[in-house]
Amino acid sequence: MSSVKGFLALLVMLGGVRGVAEEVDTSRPSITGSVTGVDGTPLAGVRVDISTAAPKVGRGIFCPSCYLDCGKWATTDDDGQFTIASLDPTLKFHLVLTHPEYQTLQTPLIDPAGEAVSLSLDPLSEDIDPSRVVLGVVTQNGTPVAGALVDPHGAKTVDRRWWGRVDGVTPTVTDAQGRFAMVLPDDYLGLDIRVEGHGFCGEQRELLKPGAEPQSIEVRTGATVTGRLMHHGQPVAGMSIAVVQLNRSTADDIFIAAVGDVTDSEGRFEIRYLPPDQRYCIYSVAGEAKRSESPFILTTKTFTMPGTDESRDLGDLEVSQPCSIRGRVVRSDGKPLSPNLRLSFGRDPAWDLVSALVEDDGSFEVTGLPPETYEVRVGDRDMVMASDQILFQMLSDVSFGIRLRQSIDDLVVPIQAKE
Amino acid sequence: MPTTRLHCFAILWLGLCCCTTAAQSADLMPVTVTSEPSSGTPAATVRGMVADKAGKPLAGATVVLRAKLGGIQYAGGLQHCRDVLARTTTNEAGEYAFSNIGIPPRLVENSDLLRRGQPGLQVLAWSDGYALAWKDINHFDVEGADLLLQNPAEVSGVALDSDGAAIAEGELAAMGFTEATGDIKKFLNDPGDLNLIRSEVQFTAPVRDGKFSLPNIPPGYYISVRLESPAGDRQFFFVDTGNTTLKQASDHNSSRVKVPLHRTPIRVTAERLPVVRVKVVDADGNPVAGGGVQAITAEHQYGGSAGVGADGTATMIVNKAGSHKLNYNGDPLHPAVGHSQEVDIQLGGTSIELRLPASQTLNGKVVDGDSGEPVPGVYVAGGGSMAVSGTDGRFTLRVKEGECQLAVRHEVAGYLAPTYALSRDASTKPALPTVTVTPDSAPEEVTLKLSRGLVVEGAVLDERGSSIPGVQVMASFRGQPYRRVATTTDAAGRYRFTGLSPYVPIAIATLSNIGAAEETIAATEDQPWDQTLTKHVDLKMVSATTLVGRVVQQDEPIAGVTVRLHRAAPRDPNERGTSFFPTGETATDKKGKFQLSGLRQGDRYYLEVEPVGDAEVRDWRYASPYTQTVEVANGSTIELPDAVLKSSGQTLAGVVVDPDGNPLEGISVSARFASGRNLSRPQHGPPPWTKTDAEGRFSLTHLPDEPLSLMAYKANPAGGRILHPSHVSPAMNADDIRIILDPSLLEEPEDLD
Repeated sequence: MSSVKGFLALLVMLGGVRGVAEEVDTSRPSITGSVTGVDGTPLAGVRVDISTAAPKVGRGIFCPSCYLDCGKWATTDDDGQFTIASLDPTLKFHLVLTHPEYQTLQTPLIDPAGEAVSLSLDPLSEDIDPSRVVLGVVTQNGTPVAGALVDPHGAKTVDRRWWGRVDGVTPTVTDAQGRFAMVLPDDYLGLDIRVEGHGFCGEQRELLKPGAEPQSIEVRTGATVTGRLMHHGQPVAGMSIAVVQLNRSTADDIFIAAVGDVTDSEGRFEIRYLPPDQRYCIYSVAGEAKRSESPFILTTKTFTMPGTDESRDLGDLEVSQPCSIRGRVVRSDGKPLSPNLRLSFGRDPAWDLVSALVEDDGSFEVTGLPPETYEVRVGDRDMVMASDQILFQMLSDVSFGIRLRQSIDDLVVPIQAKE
Repeated sequence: MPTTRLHCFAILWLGLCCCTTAAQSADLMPVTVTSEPSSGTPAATVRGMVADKAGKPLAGATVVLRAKLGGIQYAGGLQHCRDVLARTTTNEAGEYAFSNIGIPPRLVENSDLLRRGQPGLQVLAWSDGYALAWKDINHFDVEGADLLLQNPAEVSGVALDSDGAAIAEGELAAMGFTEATGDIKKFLNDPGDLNLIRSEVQFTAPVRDGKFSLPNIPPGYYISVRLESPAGDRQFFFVDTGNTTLKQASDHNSSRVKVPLHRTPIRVTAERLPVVRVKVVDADGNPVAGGGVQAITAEHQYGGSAGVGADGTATMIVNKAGSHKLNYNGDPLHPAVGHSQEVDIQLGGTSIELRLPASQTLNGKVVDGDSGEPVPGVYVAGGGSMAVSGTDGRFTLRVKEGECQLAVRHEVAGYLAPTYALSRDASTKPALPTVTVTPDSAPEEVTLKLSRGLVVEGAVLDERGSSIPGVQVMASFRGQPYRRVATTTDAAGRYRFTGLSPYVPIAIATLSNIGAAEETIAATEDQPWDQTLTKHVDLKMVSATTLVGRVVQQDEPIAGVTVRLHRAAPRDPNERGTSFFPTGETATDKKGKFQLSGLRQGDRYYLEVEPVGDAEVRDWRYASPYTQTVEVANGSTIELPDAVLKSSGQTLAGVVVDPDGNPLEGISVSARFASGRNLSRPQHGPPPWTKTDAEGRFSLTHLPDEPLSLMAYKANPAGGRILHPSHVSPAMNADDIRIILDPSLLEEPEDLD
């Protein structure tokens, strides 16, 4: 099946995350499904791409299109059936279905452990106004890139200019010739897109106009960063680290969020296809997205990523023992805390989500923290920090800042009801 | 109005021109016209009547037609800015008429204003026992400019010196009048205000034994008054004749200086300042009458000025003692050689004789470089002297010995005057003649040739290509001196501009209910300044897009608010930065509504809403610092959300400390709306951000009267993202805010580079 061939080819090309078996593994589930037209007729030849992924539990910090499974794809057979096999069991996936004669469809997140999915595609309306279509061709070193995800991330109408979610336009993937087409609602004047996928780093384009000449988008391979984690002269295997761009504004270049890796048996890591020529930080993931159970942490370090197609070796990086914060949340009016109250510990420039569940008695504990600056935030919409009782710097109504140098056992977090 | 036959005759006498108008019915009183030469075009005709408040005509009232300008910048070191164009009195029927009063070529801006239908002139009237009244004149030809004189307000009181003693002898002068709206921040700058600073018209009253009474003062105004005595007592103050309810009738901030506000009975205490008594004499020791003296401080700031009387003396009060440069400038209509001398002004007073150097007569002529015709009204300076060319183009300077570099000092309507502003932009520097003046012989006569600069002519065409008569065409300089000149197409739909600058881009635009068109003429940097360059530009109209909106305050529509449209051409991919230009102005109607037109698809624009009192429109996304782009097709109407005027009287103050309580200096503190929306800089007043002083203190004033939050942070010298700012949400008007800022939060991670 072509999907398997594609998958294997992709594996060879990518290398991928080390230390994790990618071959036949029965613990790795598949997404299977069928695609029909609205009348129930099976549709053959529909390209089914995994566009982005997200962790099953909690929120993701990682680049949604940078998970290894993203970029896997299949084509429906004569019965409209498809299978995308051997997927990460901790993730859920968005699929994008494309076919020249049908409207592109992006699915909600699909759990590969679930049952086979049934999907149907609407035919292209016959009277698509060419002046409403944004066209483009994605190439890498001049060669068309198939299966690149083209994701809207901003748009403009007469009344509004915004960045982020675009409800009126469906993401799509490029065809074998690298081409894509997106139909814009009538009142859209332009569309911002991001082009992402495996084997290259993302690109973005601002306000592509519908009805214009096809936009040519050349993607860069991106840069690679490598290094080795060491502890007292010994390599540290199976430790989760990540890199992230320091500049999170999308004005200059695409921001792709964190990209992680787990060190191999020699303590080595390698992360590829990163937007080049800019500042990054490397750090250990401390929050719920942590992918290994290493007892160590890596203090956050900054570095400059080299140009595209170049690689930077950060050398041996010494890891250390983590810190912890224990303490108590106190309501100034003495009333009970709301159940499932969480405190979050924001990091910067590391890109992470660290939070602790507060017990009924107000106590909380968060461990595995690198010593750095944290923004302690109360996660209850009805509560704010009791700022007049806090001797730390307020960062907002609901958060204050602390510089963690060693473990803290008695952090009192006074909160009060919002006025 | 009775029909009048105009009979105009000019008497030429030493470059002076007098013009008298008489009516057929001999009804109208004669008119005295300014002695400043002019070509007679453009000319203004203003007629009306003067009556008391009951409408009864007043005979014998004084009526003055003046250029609407005021301030020391127009006077240029002289006693006044020669703003009066003509004077007359009313006849038995209370009528007056100024007919075909030539506007001197120097007053280019005033003529430009009239061509755009904006106030370029004012007519003033007063009479014994009645208050002064005035009216803005917006067009060259105005009938029915009637003035109703009120009973005067009582403005009297006592004037004391700094020791509390009555000022024995002195003078009061009313210098400016603004409607008593409760806001004197914009004093003298509003439509309808009267600014008589350095005007030829002065409303004065003597101070005798400490007592004074100013006549002819209108009720319902703020009046700015200057008190001076020959002994050096001086005080500026405001008189409120409006019985307005003020928050406080004490001190008001007028620009930088605090000026006391009084009501009758007035008790004003003057400052005692140094006095300089200057006697101006020529090289032979004979007194020189006319002209003015001006003191400039060692820091090149204005120190004081005074006119020189018929006996050659002047008494000048200066702002402070110390070293000054004392300048004498002769009256351009009676040229005398100028002079400059260092003088150390003593606190107790200084007497000085200013002896002018020996001078020679330099005769010259200003002519049109194309036609050879004389050009009158040109201010020519050189050798320390300044003169005005007469109707024959001739001028006479009194120049001192040595190299005499000639220059032109004011704009000349219809010509490209080689002024300072021009020499800065032209790549070909205006080179006016230099004359060597020796004691032995009179220098040779010089001829200055002026060109018409850039002449633009063409037709205004509708979408079918037919020419359109009677529409206004505007030429806007896209560079110094940023003039805007208007004209109207003739019966054949043609227009013509002369005297434009070839050294800056010029936008030629037209706008009417038919549509809009705009063409931009690129600068011709290498154009010789003394040669005329003619360009033909036809304007083809397309339907314009209109903005409609409303100005409200506390949900109530506000009438009479000035709204200006600033726009820029569609974005050019090669462009760096954008220049916006004002292209339209209107005022809100009774329902608070306004309408501005002239936009085309792709144009970028923003609106400027003039503040009303202490309220202004802030952070409206159609006003600066935001800009909008017209996306809709030409001919559309865009309805804007309401522009909301909000008062800005809040002050927030406090201290920034570290977690141990130590004050932090140099921390940036900025305010924003509690909702998180940014707060931009107000149109007037300080910005909503500051830095803490050595004690960690900060104070932010003129903030909107609504809940705000503060952000304190250590500015990143490299720019970029603000890391770990402290955010607090203080109570409104809190003055004891304590912000903790922890510098350790900013400790940076290890850098591997």
